[in-house]
Amino acid sequence: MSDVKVVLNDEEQYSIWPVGRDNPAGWYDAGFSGTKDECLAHIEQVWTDMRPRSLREAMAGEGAR
Amino acid sequence: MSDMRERLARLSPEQRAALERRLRDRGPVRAAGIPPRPDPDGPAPLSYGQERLWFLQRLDPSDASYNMYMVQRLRGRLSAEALGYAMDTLAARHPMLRARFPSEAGRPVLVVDPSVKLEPVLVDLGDVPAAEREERATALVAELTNAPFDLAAGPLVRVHLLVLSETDHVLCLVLHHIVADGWSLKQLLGELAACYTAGLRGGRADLPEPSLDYRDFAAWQRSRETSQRDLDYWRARLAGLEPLELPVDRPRPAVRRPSGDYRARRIGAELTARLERLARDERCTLFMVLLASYQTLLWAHSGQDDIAVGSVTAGRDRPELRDVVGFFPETLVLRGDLSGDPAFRDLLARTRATVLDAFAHQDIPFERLLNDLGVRRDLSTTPLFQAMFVIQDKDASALPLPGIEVEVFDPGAAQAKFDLMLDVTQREGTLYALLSYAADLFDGETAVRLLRRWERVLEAVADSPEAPLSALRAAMLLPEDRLPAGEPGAVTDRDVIALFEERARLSPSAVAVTQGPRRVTYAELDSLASRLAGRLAAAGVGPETVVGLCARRSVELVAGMLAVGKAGGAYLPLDPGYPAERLRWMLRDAGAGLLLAQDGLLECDLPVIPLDDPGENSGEDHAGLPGGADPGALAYVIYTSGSTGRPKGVEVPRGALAARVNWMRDEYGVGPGDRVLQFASASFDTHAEEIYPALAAGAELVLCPDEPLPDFLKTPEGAALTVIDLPTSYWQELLAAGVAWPPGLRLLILGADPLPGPALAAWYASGPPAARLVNSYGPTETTIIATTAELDPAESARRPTVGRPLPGTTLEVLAPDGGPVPPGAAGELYIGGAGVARGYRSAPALTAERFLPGPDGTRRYRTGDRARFRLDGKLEILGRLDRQVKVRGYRVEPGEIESCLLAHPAVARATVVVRDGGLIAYAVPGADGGPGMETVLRGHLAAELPPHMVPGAIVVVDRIPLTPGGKVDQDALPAPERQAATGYEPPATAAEELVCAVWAEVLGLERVGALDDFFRLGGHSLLATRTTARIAAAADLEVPLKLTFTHPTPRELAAALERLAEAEFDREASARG
Repeated sequence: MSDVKVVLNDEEQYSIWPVGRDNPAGWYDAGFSGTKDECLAHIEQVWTDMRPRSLREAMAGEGAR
Repeated sequence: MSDMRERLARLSPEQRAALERRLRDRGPVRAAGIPPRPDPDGPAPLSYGQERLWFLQRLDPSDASYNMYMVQRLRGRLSAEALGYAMDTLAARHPMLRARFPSEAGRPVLVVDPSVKLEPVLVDLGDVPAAEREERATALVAELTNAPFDLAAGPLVRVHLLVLSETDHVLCLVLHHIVADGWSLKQLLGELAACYTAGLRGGRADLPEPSLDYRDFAAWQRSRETSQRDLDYWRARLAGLEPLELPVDRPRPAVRRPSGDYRARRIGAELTARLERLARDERCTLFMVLLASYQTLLWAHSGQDDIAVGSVTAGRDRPELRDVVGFFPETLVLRGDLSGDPAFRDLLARTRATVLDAFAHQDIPFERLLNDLGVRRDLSTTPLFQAMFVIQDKDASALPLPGIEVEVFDPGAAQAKFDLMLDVTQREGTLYALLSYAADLFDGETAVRLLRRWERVLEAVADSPEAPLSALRAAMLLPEDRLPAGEPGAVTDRDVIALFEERARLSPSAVAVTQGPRRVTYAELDSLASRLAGRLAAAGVGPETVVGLCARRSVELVAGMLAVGKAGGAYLPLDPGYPAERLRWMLRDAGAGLLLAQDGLLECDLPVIPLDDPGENSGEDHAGLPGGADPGALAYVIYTSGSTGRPKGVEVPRGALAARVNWMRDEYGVGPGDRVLQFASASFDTHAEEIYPALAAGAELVLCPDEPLPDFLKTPEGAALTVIDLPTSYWQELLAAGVAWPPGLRLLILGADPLPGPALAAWYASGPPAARLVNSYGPTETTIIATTAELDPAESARRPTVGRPLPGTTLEVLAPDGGPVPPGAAGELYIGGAGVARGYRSAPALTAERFLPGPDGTRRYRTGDRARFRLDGKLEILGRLDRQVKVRGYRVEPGEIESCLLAHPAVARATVVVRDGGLIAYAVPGADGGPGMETVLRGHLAAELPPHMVPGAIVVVDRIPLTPGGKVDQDALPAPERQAATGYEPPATAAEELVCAVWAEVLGLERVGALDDFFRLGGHSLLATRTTARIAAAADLEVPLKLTFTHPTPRELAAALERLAEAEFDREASARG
């Protein structure tokens, strides 16, 4: 049964969204769908750096300077 | 065959039920009909229905909600004599119009008086000035329709003729439902017209004798055995039924009152015709279409998908009952399954099956059903269902009198038998809908919108019955339901550290923090924080570094927070009162790199910087971050109870904190001269609401000393406070204790707990200082608070609101399917916008589950709070959708405490509940369980959990009782103090002895203990009337029937009786004196 999919936004923050409903603006499919528990387990595996992307990039820039 | 089925389906529910019953049991009793009693004037029992109505009247003698009435304006020359003759004829024809119901030893007896005169009482309004006459007539009629009957004394019929002029009369006929029903009323009106017409001519009306005496019906009904099949059917059908939790406008009183009101709406001919067509197309009756749409309305407003609605049948399908005046209706419970977002058409199919089955099993008196199901009578609500639906017969009750023009006249009845009752009459091709509502619970405007939303549903399904219920809920939104859009957030919220540093530059010598006799200026505090920040930075602290912060409430604690902020890091508050093991676990879970602590408060294997030793002033203060702080970087991590057994760390970014603090500083009007109390533990985010706005505004932060707050408020320091922020439950305690509030208090902020209306009323009645009172709401996940409300005395009559969202914050109340619910309806609250946290520390799955994409693409937090918007757009918090509880303002997941208990080898099963505001743990012993395990478990919990999560009592039980639905049956868990009384508790006083003896006798038990519950012993409503009567007789006291329901154990009841006796004695004494 695949009723939920994994989505992520520009900040590369993950969440879940019902399959078959249009994604809200700014959210993209992560290419994984399944039951809610399966999706959450997938997110637990792939979302390794939970900092928002803009912060991550800013910190990398600081470090590079 | 299918043709046959089709024809069967088109039968009205009653026709079909009658047919099915005829097919089912062709017993000899049926064939014989209802036999007359041997002695027509001999004693007769009450019917079951009459007994129920008698009981309800006994329960509340002032209840007039079972009054029936017919009020009509009669224009023309009316003959009072002919009317009198007609009424007397009716009384002579129908025994029930002469009936009354005295009680003997707590049981009702039916007495039919041989002759009763029912001539109308003439009320001449001719002398009243013409301008006031109409008003007087309306008021008089309302008085008559709302006056209760004395069932023992009778007569139970009241006839008045108001004479406004020679050609203008109002006839007001009021009967108690116990002697008549809607059908009877129509019958009576027909006969009244015939007798009046004959009377005018001086003759007698030629009316056939009624085919049966109601008393024969009652005797017959009581002699029949209840069909086991019907009983089994209803038992299965109603298993696990939960009460309808329609969100109400005002809190439900402990004892429901029948005061009510109604609103009306007319469904036009065109829509009515379409609905009738829909019914035909779907092989349903109009009743089923209207019922399904009504249940859809209730579904959308309650958020429940198991909706029971009561209805009545005429109860007259036997031909010999057709012309009998009396009470015949049977109450049916129609339980709708609205789960799974079905198409309305599919719901209609379910409804059709439900209705047909219910009618086929209607031959069981409702009162017997209640007793058989063991439904416990709860005085705050009606049993089994709270919403009613009835559809009246097509022809309106008219009174055709010769030479008289009849007009409707406002009956002014202000009664409600149920929370809500939808009453639909078909009249000239249209539907006339009346929605009556309990006036204690609902506002008129709510009823108006419910009716209009119901009409929206009817419109929608008439066009497209294939629409799913979620689409119908969307269709319920009316133009005025659009909520005012929240204010946009500020464009630039300044970082809290920058705000503080600015104050330190502007007024360096102002007092920033007061700790007892110690006063620290802004310059000193800034210097202290900067020196600490320098040490932190040197130790590698920067953006995203989590620093444990373990300190008592002190200047150092505040400086530590500022220092971490200045260094760009995030602090993790560690309350020194928590078990060290838990604090070390939090440091590990948060990935802290460093501990900033007061002298040896916490041992751990991280590098420690002592707070009390900020180090030398390096000559150059570490003044903030180069280039400013990133608003996306963390400001703090705060741990909150986790349902899976692990606390979860909420990550709050600097930008979210800045948005809240900038708003608070401005909106709370904090400034120099304010003295702001710092009361909250740093473990909770309320500390940020106290500390940062004060330091961002140049105010003085006053640290609450260790002494109790009421004592501190008596000192000159405490009495000079101007701003206080308290958990609502603690504020209530202070209010109850009559604490002396600072005279200069100008702002009191409440939060963390629901605010009860009565507490608010007590506040305004206590002569408080002229302070603004703000109610706030918000989970840690949306940064301190998300909504606020300015309170006023009017709120104390309702469920006080938590108000509107902060600027830049969005609130949505959604149904489980994600669709918005209309204002007034309950749903789950989602919060978006500026305050939304980044997530839970190192918990990607948990974060993804609770922080979800919103319609505008931003993330929003799913709160788990059940909430609703009021019609004025303000928010109300109704409770939780999961097991999370608030205990004295602390957010607690019982699951976390249960996990902790289960981790101990002495425990096999465990559950934790809240009782009387405190946590109680129940544990089933495991392999290592044994005597004295309560003490062992208490020690175990205290070593693992924060003090506020250690239950006040631990009770060892053999098993954890479950409801039929598989949930823990909280009501069946023993109360901790009753645990000691193992089973039987002997009565201790004479009054207890009396109650125990009477109960044992009436309930047929060998003995009754002082702590036994009447209803668990098998007591029910009618038995309660009997025990009450016997106790009253034995004690020679007036005992209200209600007492047994409000005091269901002998101990409680005896105490209440003693109070009654004392009051009685005092009355007599003062009468003598």
